[in-house]
Amino acid sequence: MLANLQEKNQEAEANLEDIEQFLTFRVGEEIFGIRLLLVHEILKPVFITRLPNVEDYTLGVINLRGEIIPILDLKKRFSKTDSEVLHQSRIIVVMLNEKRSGIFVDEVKQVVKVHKKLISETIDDLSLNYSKMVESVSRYGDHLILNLSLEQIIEFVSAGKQA
Amino acid sequence: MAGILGEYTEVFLEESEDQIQELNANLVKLEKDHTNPEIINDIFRAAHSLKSSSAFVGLYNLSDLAHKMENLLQKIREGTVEINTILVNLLFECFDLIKNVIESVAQGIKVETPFTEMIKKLDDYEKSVSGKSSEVTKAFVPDSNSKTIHISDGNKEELSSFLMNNPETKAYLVQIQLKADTQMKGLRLLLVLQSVKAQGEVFHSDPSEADLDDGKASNSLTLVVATNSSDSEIHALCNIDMMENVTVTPFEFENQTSKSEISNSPVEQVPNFSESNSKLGNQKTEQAPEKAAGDSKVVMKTIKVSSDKLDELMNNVGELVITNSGFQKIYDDLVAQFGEDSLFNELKGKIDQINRISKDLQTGIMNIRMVPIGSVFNRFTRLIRDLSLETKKKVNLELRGENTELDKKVIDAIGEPLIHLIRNSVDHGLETPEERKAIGKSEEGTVELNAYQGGSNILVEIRDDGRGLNKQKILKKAIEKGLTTESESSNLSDNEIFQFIFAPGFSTADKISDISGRGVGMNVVNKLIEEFKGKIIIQSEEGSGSSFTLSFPQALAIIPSILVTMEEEVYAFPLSEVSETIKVGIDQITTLEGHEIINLRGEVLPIYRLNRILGQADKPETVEVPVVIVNFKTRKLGFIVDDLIGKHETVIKSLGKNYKDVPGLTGATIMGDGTIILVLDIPGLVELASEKLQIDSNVVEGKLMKRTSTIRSLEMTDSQEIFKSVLSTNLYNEKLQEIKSKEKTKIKKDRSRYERKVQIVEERTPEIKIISIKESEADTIPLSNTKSTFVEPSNGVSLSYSIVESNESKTDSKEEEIQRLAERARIDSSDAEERAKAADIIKGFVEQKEERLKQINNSSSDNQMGEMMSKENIKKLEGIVNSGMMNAGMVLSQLVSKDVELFIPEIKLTDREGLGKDFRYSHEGFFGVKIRMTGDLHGNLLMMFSEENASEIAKTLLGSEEAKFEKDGKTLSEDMVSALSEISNIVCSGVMNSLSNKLKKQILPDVPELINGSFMEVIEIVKPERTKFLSMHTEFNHEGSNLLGVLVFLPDFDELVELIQKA
Repeated sequence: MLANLQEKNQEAEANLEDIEQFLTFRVGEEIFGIRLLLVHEILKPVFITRLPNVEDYTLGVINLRGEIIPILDLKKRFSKTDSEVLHQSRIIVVMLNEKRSGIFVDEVKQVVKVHKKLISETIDDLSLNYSKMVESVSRYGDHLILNLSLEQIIEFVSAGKQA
Repeated sequence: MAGILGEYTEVFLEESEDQIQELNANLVKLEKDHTNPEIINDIFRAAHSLKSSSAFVGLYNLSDLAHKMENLLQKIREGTVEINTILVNLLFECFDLIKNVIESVAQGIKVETPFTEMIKKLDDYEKSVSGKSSEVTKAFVPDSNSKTIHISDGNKEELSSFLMNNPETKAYLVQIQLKADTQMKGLRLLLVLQSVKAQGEVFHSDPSEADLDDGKASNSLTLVVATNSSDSEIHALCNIDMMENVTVTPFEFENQTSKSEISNSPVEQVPNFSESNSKLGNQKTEQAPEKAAGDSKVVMKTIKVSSDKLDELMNNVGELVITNSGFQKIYDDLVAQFGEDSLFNELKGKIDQINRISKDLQTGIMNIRMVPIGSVFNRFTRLIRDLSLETKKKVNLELRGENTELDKKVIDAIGEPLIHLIRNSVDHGLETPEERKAIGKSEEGTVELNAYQGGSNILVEIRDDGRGLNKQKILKKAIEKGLTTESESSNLSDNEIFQFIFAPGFSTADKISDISGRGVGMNVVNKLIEEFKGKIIIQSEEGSGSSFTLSFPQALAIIPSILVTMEEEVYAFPLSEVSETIKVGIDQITTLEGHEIINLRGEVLPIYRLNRILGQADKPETVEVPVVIVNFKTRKLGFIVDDLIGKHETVIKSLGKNYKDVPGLTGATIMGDGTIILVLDIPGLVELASEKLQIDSNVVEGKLMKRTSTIRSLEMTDSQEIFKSVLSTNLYNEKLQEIKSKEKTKIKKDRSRYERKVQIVEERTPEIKIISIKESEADTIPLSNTKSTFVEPSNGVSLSYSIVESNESKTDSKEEEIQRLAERARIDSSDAEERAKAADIIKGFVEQKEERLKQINNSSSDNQMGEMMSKENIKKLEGIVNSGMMNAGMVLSQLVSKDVELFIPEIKLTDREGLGKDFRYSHEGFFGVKIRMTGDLHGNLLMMFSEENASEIAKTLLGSEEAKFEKDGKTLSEDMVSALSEISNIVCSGVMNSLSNKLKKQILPDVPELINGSFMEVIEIVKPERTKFLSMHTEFNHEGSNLLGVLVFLPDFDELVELIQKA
């Protein structure tokens, strides 16, 4: 499948500027993507310090080399069910507006290069309960990668301004 | 990042903000003191600066306005325009406009509108006043040119005729002032004179050209020139290097005549005026250059630093402090593991040194952020002026302590609240002049601002001598608003009553004015206080006045705190808020009107359950709970916590940096070992608590979960599980812990599997380890293959080990064994002396050991043990308990001050009867102390003392006389009992510690129990539940045969097997 896509990409490939790179990962049964430029690092699960009186999808904070960053449970954010901790679970540390935070996911897949032509903006009648957090959809061979809008997911970035 | 005006935006903003403040302050001063030329100069200079800097960044409209202002100011300087309220107001208007532009720029908006209206106003005013030539001209001529202009009549006539003949020309009076330290004054003035001459006709010159030519030195030059050049052109001509002042003004004959008249005839006010002015002027010239020099000196001592840079620096120093505490912890661990050492002492010394230095560094950097409060105070002069005009009250503002320094953040935030307080003072506090007169006060009211240091706090005080606060009114309003009740009010102190004015919307004003009265101002003050953890103290006397004192703690970054644990989460209470920590019995908590309270030494305090505020489950009831008592505003509160850990210096990191502010927390901090501590915000907690009372939040359940943290409180019991709330994070952590431990065991299994492959196991019959002396023993061992080897350690102590293995055919592994046991013996004894002791001990009892071997060998149960535990595990176990017993022996010998020898134990899997057989002392009388093991391994440790020796031992411990038997001579006295229990405890702990360390588990002693009787009876009581059990025992002997006691290790077999396998 990968080879397939690579071929397709090469066809559509005009110049490097038209390629967007995403880090793909799995939450539940869905595959999601995040623009690679926003990804800072990937950690194995570590113990999380709970924060009292925060949203239910914020698991807490961790100490990342002296910096305190929040970790949010993506599955909880989408489907209101707690994530299972498995040996392939990972925490993806992302950076947005000079703020770092971590996202807990079930499995990290791979980095994919997708030609912009194959990325389409989300159609409104995409009746997913997290549709507003998906900013675009990419065709990846037979798969659909739902590219997440980091700003929408990490709401506390904007909520922080109100607070 | 360039600002909207380009790269100089920031610089411009800073400077211009300063200028505007100065302008405002100075204008107010000028209003009061019209004659002070210095102030005018300052204002002029500031306006001039503003003009050029705004032009520089492209704000041309601003520049134009400033230019117009400058003109007006110039006229003031010369005295052609007098100072009155209208003018001052006009100027203030200008300042405000300018300020608006600056503020817009600060917010990123470039204001382009030309100030045509304002400029017109200025022009109009100028025209309206410039025509007038007042009789009493306030001559603000700042230079010694107040010496009057003697223009001869002849010259005058010439001038007027010239002017008539050349209508396009104008006459100007040029006054030039050189700087005091100018070189070659005469020459310079000559140059000027000549260049002016080139532009027009000079009709008067003082000093004259001739004089200048002669070298007559003068600081100043006065010219009357007729020219068709503009005044600015003339001005430019004269404005050469080293010019202090150049003024070019249109020369008016009439003025001049009047001036000269004035100068010739001593009319009352004016000559005095001009004389005194000249004196002033003279002084001024001296002062002016000095002042300029002084300014430049001041400027060079300061550097403007962006506060971002400072923040970063502060952050780094904070990290330094945290890392230092990490060092400290490592040091503690090292000492715990390896004992005291001179090298460690050195390390400690260096650690302490670094600690000191980094603390100093931190204080130093924090001081950099300290800014004198004077900058804030100066703003208020303008405010007071405006206020007094509005309220028609006479107000005098006194400022003191302008040099007191506060952290920049506080300085930035304190402005607004102070404004509110001042407004209140003027509007509500001070009486009108008539009222004041009527009650005998001076017509002018005084508002005093004072800043000073008090202890570790900085205090800012606003005091007025007005009518004071009306306690009754406040109380009435408070009761009205439901903030207190009639009954409670009688208990309130004055300060507490006054504190009500901080309630939102609280106002006792009968009328709401534009200035105040809405009840909003005090709330703003309150917010400031809370944000910076400050306090406000109100004092007031009706009729005399009131004072509001804001106090702020000085150091804002390192906060010593009290750490508490809630389940496994660590929270910190800032020490400055904590009053005390106490233990409270559950029964002492009562409920009053739905709130829980306790009685603390007669004081009734509300008490909150921190676990509920944090969203945790309620614990199963305990008898006593620890409570942290804090100060909140003027009251005390208590928080029930799970456990207290101790004091800790925390460097707070904001949560908002990467996340957002969480209610109830001020921030987080990191401990030396990386654990995150959340720092509590007391007002936030109180708010949350009241919210939670109102909403019926879902009850959180709790259950036992495995421990994930290594934090231990002062008295926490160490169990493997702890009661935790069922919350997502806790479940996550638990699951993670499971996965991690599974991985660990998996790794270990793989490792051991690997190791086992390497070893060759030949037979499955059990082996017994024996330690015997020298060669001869080999024969007495009835078991199959035996071998003896000797190990001669290099230090000369003959530590002879000989290990007999039943089915070992490889010498190598035996060597290993020897090495291993030797290692173990050495580890547990750190110096040669003790090693020698160990050697003796081993020697001492080995003989006895052999005898018993015979018995043991015949036991059939050995086979069973072999089945249940692999050879390897048995070895492991023996090794471990070995060292444990040796430890115990060492400890015992120290306790009883006798040489103690012990058997190295061997493992017995047996049943009750078998156990009895093993001990040759089965029927003698013993005093036994049974200590139960808890934690990761259960079972019993039994320490038995022979009757004969029990008293001996006790005597040694207690110090002779007390160790007596009871009257019957047989039963032990209480003292003896405790002595023996103590010894047993210590000895058994030694064993358990050793076990714990080697198995990397937690094995802890429980309460000791004394048993008395024959050996068998004792064993009977101890008997484990299972019929088969594993025992290891050793005997402690003194001088070979004098039996001191027996230590029996009776663990739970299954658990032990499991532990050994994992170890």
